[in-house]
Amino acid sequence: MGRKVAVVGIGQTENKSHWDLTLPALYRLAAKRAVADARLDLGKIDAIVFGNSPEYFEGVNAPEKWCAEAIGGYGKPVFRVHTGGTVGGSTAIAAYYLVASGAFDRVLAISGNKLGDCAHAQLGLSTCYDPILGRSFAAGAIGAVAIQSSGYMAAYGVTEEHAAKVAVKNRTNALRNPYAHIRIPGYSMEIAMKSPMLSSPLKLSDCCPQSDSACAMVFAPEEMAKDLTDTPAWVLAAVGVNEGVNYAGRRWYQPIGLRKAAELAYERAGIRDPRRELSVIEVYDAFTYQEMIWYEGLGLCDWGEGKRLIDEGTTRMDGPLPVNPSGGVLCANSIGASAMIRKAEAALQVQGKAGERQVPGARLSLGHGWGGAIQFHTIMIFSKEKP
Amino acid sequence: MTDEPRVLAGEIRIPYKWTAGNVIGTFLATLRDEKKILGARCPECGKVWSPPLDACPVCHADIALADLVPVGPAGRVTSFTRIEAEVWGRPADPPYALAAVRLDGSDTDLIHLVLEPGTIEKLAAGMRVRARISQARKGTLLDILYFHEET
Repeated sequence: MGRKVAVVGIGQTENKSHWDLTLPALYRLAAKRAVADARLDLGKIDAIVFGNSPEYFEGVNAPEKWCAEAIGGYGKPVFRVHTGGTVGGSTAIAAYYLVASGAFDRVLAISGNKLGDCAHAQLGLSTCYDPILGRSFAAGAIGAVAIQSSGYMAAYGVTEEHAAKVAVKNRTNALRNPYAHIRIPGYSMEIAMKSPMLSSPLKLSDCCPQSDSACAMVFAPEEMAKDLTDTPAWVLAAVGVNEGVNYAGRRWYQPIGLRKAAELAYERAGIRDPRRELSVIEVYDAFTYQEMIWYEGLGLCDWGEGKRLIDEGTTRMDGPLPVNPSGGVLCANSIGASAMIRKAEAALQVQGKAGERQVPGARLSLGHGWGGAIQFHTIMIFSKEKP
Repeated sequence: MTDEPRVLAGEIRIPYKWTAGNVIGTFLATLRDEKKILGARCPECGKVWSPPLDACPVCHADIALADLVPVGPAGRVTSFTRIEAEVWGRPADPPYALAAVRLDGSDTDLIHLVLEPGTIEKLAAGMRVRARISQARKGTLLDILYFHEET
């Protein structure tokens, strides 16, 4: 798999409405935080991989054109990546490959969005649907995920209470994360269950917010890593898999693309029993039911058993395998940054730099992302120990 | 600091003509002219895709006009959502529903509308539904007005 690569710097902006920052300024804030964390400045980056989700969010086509200089791209290679909501993960993976291959040494991966600039972000999302056969029925991301979630409930007896438990878990965790958007003390089952229905079975409580944010990560090869950080997060696996959109017999609630990505990632990382070997996981829980579906896709349990992990508290902060100590996407979602934040938060955990949301003794972590028509999945696995 | 606005308001409007291609174009023309729903039977794996595609995503075979076969117009609901909120450039006024319908003879789900109040409340996985075809057809998927409970 080429050179050994570590994450040596991480920077993220707060998830909120950043009315004081243009899109380039938002990216610049994340980039400067990441290079400072790697004891570098923007001039000492060798290449940049740039991610941004559907341009309709900002209404600016080819935003890499607008942002490249603000993040140190003058006179350097800048590569654009785009895989919808997965983009932050695909961007980090592309940056990892640039370093692992030996093509470049210090590579900045950066991805974000300003959803607040779009009067109707879900309307922007609806433009992602096929214009000939899909767009007449587009109801943003929520319509597709509602159909996925309702199929999941019918197949396995998952209830609204299971979803509410996911919301309470992640919104409680978010109180420890200064970058989270939704931070509501005392978030309870009652609040979750009584929130208004948007698109059945999804209530407001089951859905992510619309945030502005950017996230950046600096990747470097083994021989440079020790000079750039005292706490490298070693990359053991970086995998992306595309599942078909509407293939014959598709069960939206059985993400076989994620299962394939997980199997590949575990094989590369030498993991045989992910539920017991992993210390902490960040999944792309844009909607509550998905967190349980992703448990199953990640092979933490069998299909249909995700609800048991929630019922038994397995994935709470004080459980044996915490999932989303950051509060997850349910508490902060700019889309463009979100899949990278999952990787960055997972890396911070093995670095021991996750602040109040640190899982004690975390040694092996996984960050996930999904995007497109519930279609693209990315996984990165990080280790405290050098492979 | 002032209260001056720090944002510029604007919008983008660009008209398009989206190419439907031969296979999907024929599917839409047949719906308009003959009130029939077609699927595409992959010449290699035999799976039927409806709406049709230009190529089989699984075995990568090309799909030709000769591969189009009739499906539906009835089928069963595999999943659904009732949309109750006033958002998202909607295809209908809430409350309405979107259903994934496995048309008879098809191996894939067609996402479409459910608009009749009686049917919306009764929606469930496995429920039989039938397409209601518009009298004023334009060659789009909305030539199927919606799906209603099969009686």
